[in-house]
Amino acid sequence: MVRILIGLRRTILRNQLARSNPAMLLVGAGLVLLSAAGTIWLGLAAYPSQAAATDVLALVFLLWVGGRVAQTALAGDAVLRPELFSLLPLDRRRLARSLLAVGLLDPAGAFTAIAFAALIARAAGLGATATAVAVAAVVLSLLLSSVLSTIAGAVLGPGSRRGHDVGTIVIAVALSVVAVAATLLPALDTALRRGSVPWLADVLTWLPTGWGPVAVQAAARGDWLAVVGSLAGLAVLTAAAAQWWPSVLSRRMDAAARPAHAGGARTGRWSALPRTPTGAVTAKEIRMWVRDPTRLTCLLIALIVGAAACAIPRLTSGTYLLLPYAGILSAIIAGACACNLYGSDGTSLWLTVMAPDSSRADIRGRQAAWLIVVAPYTVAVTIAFTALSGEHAAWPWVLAVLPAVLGGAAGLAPFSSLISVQPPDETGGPTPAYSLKVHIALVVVTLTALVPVAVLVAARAWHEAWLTWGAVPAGLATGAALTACLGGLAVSRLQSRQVRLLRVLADAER
Amino acid sequence: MTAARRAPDPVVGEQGAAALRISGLAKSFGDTAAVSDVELTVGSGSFLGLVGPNGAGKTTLLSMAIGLLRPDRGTAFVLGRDVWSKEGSVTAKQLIGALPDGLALPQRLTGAELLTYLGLLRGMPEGVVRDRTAELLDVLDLAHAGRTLIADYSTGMRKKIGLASALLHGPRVLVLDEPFEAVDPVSAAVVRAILDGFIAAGGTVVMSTHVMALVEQVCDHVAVMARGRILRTGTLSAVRGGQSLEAAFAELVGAAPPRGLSWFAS
Repeated sequence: MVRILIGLRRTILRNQLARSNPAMLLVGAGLVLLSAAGTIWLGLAAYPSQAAATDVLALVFLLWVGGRVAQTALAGDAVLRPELFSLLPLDRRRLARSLLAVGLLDPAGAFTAIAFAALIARAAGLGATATAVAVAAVVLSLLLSSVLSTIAGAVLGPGSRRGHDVGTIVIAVALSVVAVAATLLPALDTALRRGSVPWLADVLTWLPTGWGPVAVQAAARGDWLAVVGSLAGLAVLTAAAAQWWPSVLSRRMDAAARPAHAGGARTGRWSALPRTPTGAVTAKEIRMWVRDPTRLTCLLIALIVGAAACAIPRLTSGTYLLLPYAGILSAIIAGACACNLYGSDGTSLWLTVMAPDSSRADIRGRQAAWLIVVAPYTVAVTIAFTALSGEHAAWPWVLAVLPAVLGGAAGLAPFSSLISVQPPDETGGPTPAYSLKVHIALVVVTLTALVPVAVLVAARAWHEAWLTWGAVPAGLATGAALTACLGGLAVSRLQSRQVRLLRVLADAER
Repeated sequence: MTAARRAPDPVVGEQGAAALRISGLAKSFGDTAAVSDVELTVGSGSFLGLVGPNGAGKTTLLSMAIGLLRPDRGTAFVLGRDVWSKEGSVTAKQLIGALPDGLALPQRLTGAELLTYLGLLRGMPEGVVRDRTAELLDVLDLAHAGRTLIADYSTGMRKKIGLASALLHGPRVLVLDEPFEAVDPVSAAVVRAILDGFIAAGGTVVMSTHVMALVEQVCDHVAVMARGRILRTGTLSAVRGGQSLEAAFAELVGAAPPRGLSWFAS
């Protein structure tokens, strides 16, 4: 059965690859391979102490296992879905064992294996026994990551849409945390080498991903109890996960047949919003930001990356310099999240087309909803973090730039959503072209801060204190103007192109 | 429920009285002509069934007739208002209630949220929206769905919430693409009662379907479409000409007699 399943996966993957961009795939595979090779280099590098090496390797092991589990959970849904087999007369336990075996031979496992070789490279310098322990630790860690990723792929199953959405969001957020940690790897690496963040080192070595490196360090100093304890821990954990897997699979396969759960009655809550066409669009859009997993994930990533990128320098280098800008960074990323609203809504645009004269309400409502969702958080974070940092010189900068970015993003959101519309893929997730659009939007949204920044730079160059504070009204005016003007352009663009746009979206769904 | 009841004479050619007049609509996709210069007039108060095999161009024709797909040529008039002119389209869209096939509804709204959104988007007073939403959900047996998102609706429930969206603003002409598809028998009876009431109040219904028996039960007029053209149109009895509609249809579209599978015989 394993051979048949591998053949099936190969066929499905081949069909998926045939439709995707080969250049993008090559670049992706190249980057992963490069990261794996880079990890080996981390195993060969010189460290101030054995403990520092263990901590750094524990960190990269965590990133690789986390990345692999998240990747399978997000993509696994589309390849060997357990529902494919629910009608076949197969023994569930045998199917479970076969799917585990298929998971072991996953291409992602090969990349992980290359990266894990870093531990063997490290142990090679510590003697033959340490190397043998490293080989055992790598094999056990590979088994564990493979079983965990197989389980993660199945947990994210069908059933109610809400449940599915929550699963998607949790995993995407975990992935973004891993991504943030990976981006900050050099800073974290330095901190771990110096031993300046002891709690992080503790967490990393207590997690199962750290047990392999811990075992190698213990072997080097002849602490056999720790070696056996760590390796046995990995083995027991892997066995326990493998034991749990058949029941996860069974629940997933039965869930497909269960009808969706209907909750208690809840009619529209419109509370503070006006009962007008614009108010109706605003309320609908706020719900979409909260309920659509792609949109909510993007907002959560904006929140995590914005806060983490500005707070981690404090943890690693002890500087508060970036802390006041966390809110602005979150606003920029959240602005980029809104660059493809019509693409993510798909063919439901027909409702707007059929409602006469609704373009203005649609655009203004979308702008209002984005501001209601993003502005309170970013304003609060900006004020709180700036006050907390003690960087008083940052006040005019943040107060000038934040309104320009918020207003600029609110203007760009509907306007950019009407340019190069990117429909979601079959599973409702983002396509590579969508990701590219978000990255371009990140740059464009950042540019909306140009006017207040120019005023601030001029004030510094001419040493004019009053001009520094003049940047604040300049930022407010820029934001207001961009929201009004770009929104107006979007209204006329939507009016003139909505039928053509609907056609593009309908063709994509076909 | 009989087909011949209250059927007014078709008002072919009289623009003022026609609820829907399709005038030379044509659309090609690449080299394939999906709809070829179709002329069709639906009189006020009639219930027209548009029938045809898969790929006949029914959905394309109806999409163009209600303003969702721009035609290559031709236009359509709803109670005399040009759907594709700047001035006419606003009034035309107020008069149309549409249930298109294959276009999505906002997946992450509940039924009640969708209807409230649509009513307010169309500028209806809040009280009217609230009352009609409650009544539509109740009559269509969707009130129990409560917090269920449209994404979790069954196909039949989606058809019903789509029909509710089409009826909410009080249109004069309903254009429904496969409204009975996947709808259970009890709900189908409810939908038919709603449509009967709509016709009795002076409304007009244009409905596309594959199901001939359904057309014989509910429609008073029929248009048969194949390969992008209307082959025949008229009252139900005129189109079927003494035989069943299914037989008349097969004859018109030139369908080969159905065959069984060879290995069943051995």
